[in-house]
Amino acid sequence: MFLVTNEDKLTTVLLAGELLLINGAEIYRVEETVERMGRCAGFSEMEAFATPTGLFVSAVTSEGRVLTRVRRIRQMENNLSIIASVNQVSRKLAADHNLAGAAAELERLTSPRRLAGRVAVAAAFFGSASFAMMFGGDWWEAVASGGIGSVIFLGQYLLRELRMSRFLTTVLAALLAAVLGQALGGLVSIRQEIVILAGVMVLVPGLAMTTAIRDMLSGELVSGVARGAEAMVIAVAVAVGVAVALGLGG
Amino acid sequence: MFSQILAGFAASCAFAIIYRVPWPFVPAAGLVGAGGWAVALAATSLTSQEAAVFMGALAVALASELWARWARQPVILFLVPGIIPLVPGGSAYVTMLEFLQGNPGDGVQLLISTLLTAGAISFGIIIVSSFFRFFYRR
Repeated sequence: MFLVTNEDKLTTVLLAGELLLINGAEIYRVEETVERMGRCAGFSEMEAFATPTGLFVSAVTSEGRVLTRVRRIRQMENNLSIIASVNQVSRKLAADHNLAGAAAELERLTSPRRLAGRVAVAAAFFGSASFAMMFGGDWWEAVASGGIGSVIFLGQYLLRELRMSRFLTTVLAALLAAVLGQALGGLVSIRQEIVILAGVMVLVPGLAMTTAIRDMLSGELVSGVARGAEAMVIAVAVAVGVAVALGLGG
Repeated sequence: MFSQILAGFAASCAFAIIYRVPWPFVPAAGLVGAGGWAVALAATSLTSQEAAVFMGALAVALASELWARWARQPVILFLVPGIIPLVPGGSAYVTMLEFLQGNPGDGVQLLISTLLTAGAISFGIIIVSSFFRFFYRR
């Protein structure tokens, strides 16, 4: 693939920004990467405006023509390895100015290899189990929490495959966790509050929370507030799910 | 104490995998999380919960910024999983229970404590990151 036209060059730069935004990178990183890659691609001026839901890029070519592209961001993923890879591509482009190579690498990142289901479920198990330990649970409570954590993590993943909204999948997953926790608490002698709490910890919006803080810090008030609200909504969804189950169960 | 720190390490590693931090950096993210959790635990005996979490967040942010610069990787690879053990999930849960059981008074009190703890995390990250951005300006 030869990137001869300025339009092709801009598409490549836009793709880099889109990949970063989809995977939850900080706004300053998105804008800086787009602007730096644009200048490496030979545009004399480059301006990027990123929000969590859209990317606006305007470039002035060496002949003085102005190109503008808008990309609406609808997906949301939590894949930090893509951010690391785009970062690598951007550094490499700054060093060797090989835009065709960068375009090929970015293209490969658009269809990332999924984390194997077994690995994700195992990670959710250990995540919840270690939280049970941190909340002062014993080994049995850790195992029960881990079981709940991996079941609801899997459930949430399957529901999202059905294109259900993130709020609803989180409510249902938390509800399932509370139901399972109550059932286990009734069957064997474990403290249900510990296993429910440790179980729902896999739903914590860690990425949205952290990037909201970092966006605020760099003066990106719009996306800082938006991502902070996203984190709040997820936290409320967890509370609603657990509350409904506990309310029904008595 | 030791098992607590080990649990913090495991939790951060698990979340690093869930957030798909590249495999070579998963142990690093775990160490960052364990370090922050250890600082927060040690500080709990000396001061209030909010202040202890604040110190933990300072430690996590400092370790993340240093490791990210050393490895030439984005800071959030270490910061996102590292902050996980400090998240006030426990007090958020108890807050909700109080409201459910019809004790809005205690609920509001706990809610304030939960929000303060979340604020303490943000404040810890903001202080360290601002410092780094000031001294390592490109």
